[in-house]
Amino acid sequence: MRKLPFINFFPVFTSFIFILISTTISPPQGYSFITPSVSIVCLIYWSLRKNFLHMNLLQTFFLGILNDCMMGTPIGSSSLLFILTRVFLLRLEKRVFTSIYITDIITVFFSIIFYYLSVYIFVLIYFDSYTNINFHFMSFLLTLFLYPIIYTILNRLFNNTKIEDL
Amino acid sequence: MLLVIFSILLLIIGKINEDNLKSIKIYFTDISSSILSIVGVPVSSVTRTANEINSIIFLYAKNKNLRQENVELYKWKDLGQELLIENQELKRLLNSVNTISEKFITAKVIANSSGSYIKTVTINVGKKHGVHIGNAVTNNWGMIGRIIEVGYKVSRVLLITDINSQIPVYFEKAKYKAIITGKNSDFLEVKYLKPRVALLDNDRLMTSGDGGLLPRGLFVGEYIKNLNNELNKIKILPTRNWDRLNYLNVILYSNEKIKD
Repeated sequence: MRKLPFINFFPVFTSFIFILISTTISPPQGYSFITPSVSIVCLIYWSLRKNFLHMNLLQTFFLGILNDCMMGTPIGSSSLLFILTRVFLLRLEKRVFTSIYITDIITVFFSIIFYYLSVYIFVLIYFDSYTNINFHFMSFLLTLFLYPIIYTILNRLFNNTKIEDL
Repeated sequence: MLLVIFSILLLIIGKINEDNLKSIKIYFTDISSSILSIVGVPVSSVTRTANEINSIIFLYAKNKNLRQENVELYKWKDLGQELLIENQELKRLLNSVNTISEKFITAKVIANSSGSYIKTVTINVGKKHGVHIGNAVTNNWGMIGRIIEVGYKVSRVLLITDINSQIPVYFEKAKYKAIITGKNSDFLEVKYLKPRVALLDNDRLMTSGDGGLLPRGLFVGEYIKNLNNELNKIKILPTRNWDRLNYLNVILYSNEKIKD
């Protein structure tokens, strides 16, 4: 069956929609305006997919640029961090030899850790400053808990629309 | 590898001169603002409902607190009126002028970009409404940020708690000048304060207006002695409700010497 021309952009498009929605939700008061990183969750989800519909490096770069424009972070920062995380994720996945679910869990967990460590180092180098580690850790935990939610939503979306057949 | 190099190049270009890439961001923010306002409708209605349910749950406790606060405020109201008259008379005697611009514009927060290394919000006013880069943004209690990017219809506000935020301030009672910076946490930190100074408990920190970007006399935070147990750090409690952002005021202050 001939695939729709825009189908390859589906990962970037859904990630962008999730980022958009996340920006409109106000963080709860008293938690220093901390929210999870929706973009990294989407990136990990799409990078771990094994079929034709997954996020490649160019799309990762493009998602990073979109994220920077949306969030107001320095242009290029998200792209750099996303690409590094994606490379780490794929390398780690190749080295872990257990059942597919365990591999996914390990990869997701360590990829998020890697991303947050990279962010901390990036802030130290680029801004010549350091962020409060407690709130950084809290953001990491929130991202970790958000992953199953976004994973479920995207999986449901896939199963219902059968987008792979388009 | 090529993409990594390209990303680093973009970062370097942005670091050398921020204005190079700012226009792209502003353009993008302007376009996305209309999408955001549509996406934000259901989300804000859900948030509003959740807040209303929350306020109903805590109705009794809130009412009790408000009664107490009301009694306190009545005392302050009388004192405030007396001081206001006295202040006006003294200013008249000194032939002084009010330094805080009374021109402001109310804006709605349409998006918040809160991550582990950025704390900004997007508001629905821009160049069209007379907003400039550097304009102070306040809530009902004091300054919560300043404008860093201005689009035609939208602007981006850097919150005072962001690590990139640096505001020249002075202690209201002690009169010492310093810079307060954000740490991406619930507190601000004082920098460049001269050593061996005696700070007073509950001393308020106001914008000093140094550099001409911000007006003088805006409340930014408060020094609380109990919070400061560490030797080399001075923590400041930011403006009340700095993280509860819905409607904000942008003070339309423009220094002739500083152009966007």
